[in-house]
Amino acid sequence: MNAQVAYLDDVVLVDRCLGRALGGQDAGARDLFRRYRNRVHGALFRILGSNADMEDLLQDTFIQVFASLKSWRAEASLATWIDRIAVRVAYRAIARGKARREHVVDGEADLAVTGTGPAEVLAREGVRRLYAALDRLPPAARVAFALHEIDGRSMAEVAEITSATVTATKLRVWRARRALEAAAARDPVLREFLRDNPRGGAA
Amino acid sequence: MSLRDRIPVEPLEPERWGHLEQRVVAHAGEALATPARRRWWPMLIAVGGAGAVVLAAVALHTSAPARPAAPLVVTANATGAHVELGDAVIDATPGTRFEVTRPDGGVRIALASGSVSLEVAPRRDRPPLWVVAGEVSVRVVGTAFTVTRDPDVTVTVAHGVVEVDRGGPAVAVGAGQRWSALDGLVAAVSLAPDPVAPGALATAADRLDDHPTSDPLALTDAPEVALGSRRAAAPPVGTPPRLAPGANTRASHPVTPRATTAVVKPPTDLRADIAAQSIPPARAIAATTPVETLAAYQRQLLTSRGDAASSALWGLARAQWSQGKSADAVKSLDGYLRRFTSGNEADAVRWLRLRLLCARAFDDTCRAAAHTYATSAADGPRRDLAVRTTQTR
Repeated sequence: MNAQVAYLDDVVLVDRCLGRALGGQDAGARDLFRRYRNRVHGALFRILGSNADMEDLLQDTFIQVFASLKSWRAEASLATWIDRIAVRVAYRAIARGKARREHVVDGEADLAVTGTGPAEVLAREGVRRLYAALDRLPPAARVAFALHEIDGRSMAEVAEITSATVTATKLRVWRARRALEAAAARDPVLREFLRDNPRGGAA
Repeated sequence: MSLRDRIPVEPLEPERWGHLEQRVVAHAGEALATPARRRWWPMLIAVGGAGAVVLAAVALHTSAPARPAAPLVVTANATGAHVELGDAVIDATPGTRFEVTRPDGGVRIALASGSVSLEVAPRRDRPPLWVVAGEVSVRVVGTAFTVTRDPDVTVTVAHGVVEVDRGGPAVAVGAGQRWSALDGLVAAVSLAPDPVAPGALATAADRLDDHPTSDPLALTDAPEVALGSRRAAAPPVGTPPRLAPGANTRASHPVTPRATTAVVKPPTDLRADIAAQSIPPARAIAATTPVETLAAYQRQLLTSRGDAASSALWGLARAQWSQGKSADAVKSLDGYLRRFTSGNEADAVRWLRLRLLCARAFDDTCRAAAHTYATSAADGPRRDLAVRTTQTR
């Protein structure tokens, strides 16, 4: 979609949600949810590594989006603004230790890599150990690494979403890579998983 | 292969999405009704800043005598005058008399006689710059233009937009247009290519920097300025006005009126182009005064249905607009679109709504109205203008 058209659609959509335009608030809220649910889900999933409690986290995110919608000033894109809220929700989830419990206690749940062949099993175990290693990182480093290396966003975008400078973001990602390299040195499964991914840090 | 490709997002089942959507939408209304949460730190910064300002003001008050707020009175000599205010450059023709004051942080230039050409930096959130020539007021957003009082007032705009107010609704005068006290907005005039680069004001400011304000002549309180002797008086607030070196030669930054020939060409300014589009008439109604007209349309609206009701609502909105009640007109137009989305006058309603909402600024509300028009209108010049409006930033 053309960026200008998308921007205007967002403006109109927000106006509808706030009752400033035709179309009904409920319908506006539904449309906003449908437009951004996959983006938010993707960001949360890649930060946290599983769908455990995902519905609660998605609900938290969108309720905060609606509660704060009046403060959106149309200067930043609505997508980036929503990303910031999603990242804050993810921070809180990490702080509550949800993700950590998930991997330590119930590590097999909801991992994205499915299948029963040796490669799939190895990949699934590699993902589990990757997130177990990320669990041991400071939340800021984990979020920056996940958004940049796993979700594929640029450093500048990650910096904007996490309200940090680009330099601080690079430093966080670098620290996360170094921690993963150390973990991979001790863990052959993680080392094998990261081996084909030079940006992942182990190779 | 990157990690992104190796860790796909595990999808949620459609039923889970469905339940989640119901929960989110059910709570959305309540969340949307929540007043925006106030942050405490801006308040703290504001209180701290205010305290610092008070302390600074007390310190200044006790350390230096307050400078009286004297207006800058300029009488151009035989070679004209060139005055730089920091955020505006004024060039005056020989014999022109004008006075510069800074009420409430803005700039007010009262033109007694003659002709002044101004190059004004975009003022954004700053208080406006006004040129007052008798009963005519020209409000400046950021532009280059000329005001002449000889004795009738003429406003010629080189680029940008100004609003001319003569005690009635303000008239927007755009690039290439001229407004005359005798004829109103008369015609576009052919302008010579604009030699003034967009950064001309920065250049002017740079020139000010070349001549530090420690120059005793620049800080004189004398209200009268003898331009021939290259003396200047400071306005009371903000950047002290300076006469540019060699002001009388006008060689440093000439901003002279460039309207030369009378070849008429279409206006190129977007706002002027929008304003140039005609508004379709409403069905005539038996009334003699503006108040009666509004009342008659309202009565018709209350007592009719279907096409007659939509026609009455359009007539009401149009009458409100023509009587200068823009806010009421917008409400009526919104009401029309809610009730008669496909009414006979819907296209005219959307267009007038765009025009009203874009009259002040090309902001988000304006662009949303333009988007609404562009998505429903047939191809044509109005739709092209609406699309252009959506592309303003």
